[in-house]
Amino acid sequence: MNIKRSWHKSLTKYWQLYLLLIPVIAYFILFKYKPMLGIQIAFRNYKLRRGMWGSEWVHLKHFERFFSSYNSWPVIWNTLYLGFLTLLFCFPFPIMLALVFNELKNERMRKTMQTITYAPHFISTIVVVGMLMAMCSPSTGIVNKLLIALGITKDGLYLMGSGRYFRLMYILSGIWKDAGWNAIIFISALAAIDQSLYEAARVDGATRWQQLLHVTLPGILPTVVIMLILESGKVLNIGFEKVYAMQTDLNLNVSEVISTYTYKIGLEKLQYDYATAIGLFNSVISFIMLLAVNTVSKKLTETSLW
Amino acid sequence: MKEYEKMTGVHIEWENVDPSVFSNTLAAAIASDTLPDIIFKGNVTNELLYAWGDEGILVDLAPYLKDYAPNFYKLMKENPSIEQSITAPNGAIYGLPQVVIAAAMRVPDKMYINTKALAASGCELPKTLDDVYEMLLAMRDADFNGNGELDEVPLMSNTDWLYRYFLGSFGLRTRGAHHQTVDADPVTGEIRVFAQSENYRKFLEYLHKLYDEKLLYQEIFTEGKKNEAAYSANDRLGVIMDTTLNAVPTDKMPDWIGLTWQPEGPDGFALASEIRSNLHSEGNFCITDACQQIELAVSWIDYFYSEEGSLFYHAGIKDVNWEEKEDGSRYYTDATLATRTSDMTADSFLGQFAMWPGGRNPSVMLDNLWGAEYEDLPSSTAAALIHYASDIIWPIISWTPEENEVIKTVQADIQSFIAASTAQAIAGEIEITDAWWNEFVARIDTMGADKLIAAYESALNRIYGETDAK
Repeated sequence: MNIKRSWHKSLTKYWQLYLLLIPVIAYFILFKYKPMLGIQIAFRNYKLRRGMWGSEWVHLKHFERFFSSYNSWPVIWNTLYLGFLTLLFCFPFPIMLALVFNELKNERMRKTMQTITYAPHFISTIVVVGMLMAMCSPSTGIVNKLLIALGITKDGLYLMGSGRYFRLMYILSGIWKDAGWNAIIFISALAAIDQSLYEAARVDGATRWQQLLHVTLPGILPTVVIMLILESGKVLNIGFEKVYAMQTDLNLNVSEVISTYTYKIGLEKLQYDYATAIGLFNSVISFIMLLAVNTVSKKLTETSLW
Repeated sequence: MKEYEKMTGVHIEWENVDPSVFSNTLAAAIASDTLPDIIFKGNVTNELLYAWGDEGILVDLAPYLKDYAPNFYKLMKENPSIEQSITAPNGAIYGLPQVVIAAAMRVPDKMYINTKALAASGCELPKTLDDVYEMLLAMRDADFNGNGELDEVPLMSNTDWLYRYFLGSFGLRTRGAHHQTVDADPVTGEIRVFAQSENYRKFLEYLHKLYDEKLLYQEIFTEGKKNEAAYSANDRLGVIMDTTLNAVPTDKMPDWIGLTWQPEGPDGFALASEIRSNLHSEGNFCITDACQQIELAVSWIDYFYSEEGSLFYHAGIKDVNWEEKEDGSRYYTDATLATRTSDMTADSFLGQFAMWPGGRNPSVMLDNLWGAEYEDLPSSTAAALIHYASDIIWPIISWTPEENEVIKTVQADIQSFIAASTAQAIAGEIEITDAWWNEFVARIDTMGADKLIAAYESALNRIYGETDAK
């Protein structure tokens, strides 16, 4: 009763503000929630003429087909493997980078380094892969020339062709492209740490290493945890573009991931219903992972998304 | 197009669609009920033709063909593979195809040899696969461009072309260009997934040998034949697999010859595997249920399936764009050639007056054309190679929905598994041992080879009847 009345009261009092809210709500309903109704074609035998409401229900048929298909488990495995590798290597790197920048006391040097490291973020993925192909070519690429000069290899490694190097190249190029950009959020978190904490630490005789360990890291921990939660939700949603561009027959056994498989089977072969089912499975798993990491973090560090 | 409007008195309003999004655009048009009357130069696959035809979206053309499309009807009856391909499992015909009669268009794959490299290697033109190997080996060490460096590549191709070309010499992929995974054993006639044949192992071992000895372009798996133009400009290529020599700079073209036979494999097979049936692509012209004048639309398209119409379609207007000399040979008129600037590709030149460029042509390609595949070397090579075709070339099959599900999932899975394993075996990332081979064969079985073969058998029985000759 009480709540209801206060609702009413605030509605009459602040009606202009609520009016301003309407476009936002409309946006989310029209462009975010209404398209979600399309998920139902994952459970239907989708016919174009009949549309998404008129096609007949087939329940879990598309899911059964996916899991009984020979490729499903290798594809899921490749996706998870690549996703976790990305999380493991690409996630800590920006933090380290931010810490290094934080220690650089020369302001100009720091700004320059920061610009240099985040510039590659603005190069389109397809161009990055094209550059990789050229730079890593066994016969003419600069990378292999370097490896040969260092005596690491005799003939040049087939870095972009062979399945052996696919994951390595994927991770390394990912770090090169995005570490600088992702470091920005940690740099701003570092800037927010109270300088008096450092002073107190120095007075107590802490070395720079100890300051890092006991002041800096705890200071950015909440940001790190939130970022980790968000990233873990993306483990299965690894970039379609880059994997697809890097795929060759030779690395297909490690590079076929859920998103590329969905693209090939769904859009190239026009099986919208089947592709939706695989995509839905992907989203559900991602959501479960997000929830799981969030719960664990809530218990351990008392930081969580909600 | 404008000229044809004048000739027929039929005015059509066109909406252009980018070929790369064609299917999805069409799907959107169906879903939103904004379909055009006819679909021209599209490529609606047999599967969609049947799916959409069955839903009543596309009109069954079969009843109209005899009366309103006499040219096409005649072609179809003369070349049974056309009718076999375009007839849906329910007996309807939902789209008209691009028909190819000319050998030049039926045999796209050729092996072209650089005569300078051949002379430097000291070899004869290769008769067998061992000869091919010896020739490439000699080319590798011959420094045939004479620059003092061994920067030559004996063989450049992309993977598909490479596989296709050599499979035939091992008696594999015997049923033509439209079937990449299943064929019939050339000896027993048994329907099989040919990668499971013992000969496929020999094929892998042979190509691995070529790769290992650096006779193949070492970056074939990432670059394919993208560097064909650059390498051939510097005389760095010995052998290429291609349709035409268009990638080779004009001044280097006289150096090249086409191999007019298929090299013989270890078991005496010499089949050309990439042979098209008389169908280039299906569903290039369809009529939708939005169309009120079906008879008119059918007779409108039929002209392009006649000899005269085909010339009009591919080369433009007679005596304006091209002319016929007294000896029967045909040339573009000087006025037409004058419109060709040096930076123009063949397609953009032709696009100014003909409907040919871009493919997906609801028309027939006869031996009366010139240019591209019809130039002397590709065309004469193709004409010779067609004698190495196997007797039966399966048409593009129109599958039932049940078969189609097998084709789309089981075959797609098997294909990508074979493609990955083949690449790894050739590149030497997998060692071709007995254990690996047995596992490879068994793996294809567990992926559902029997289901795939059963789907083929039922479709082939529908097309050929219950005979042995398939």
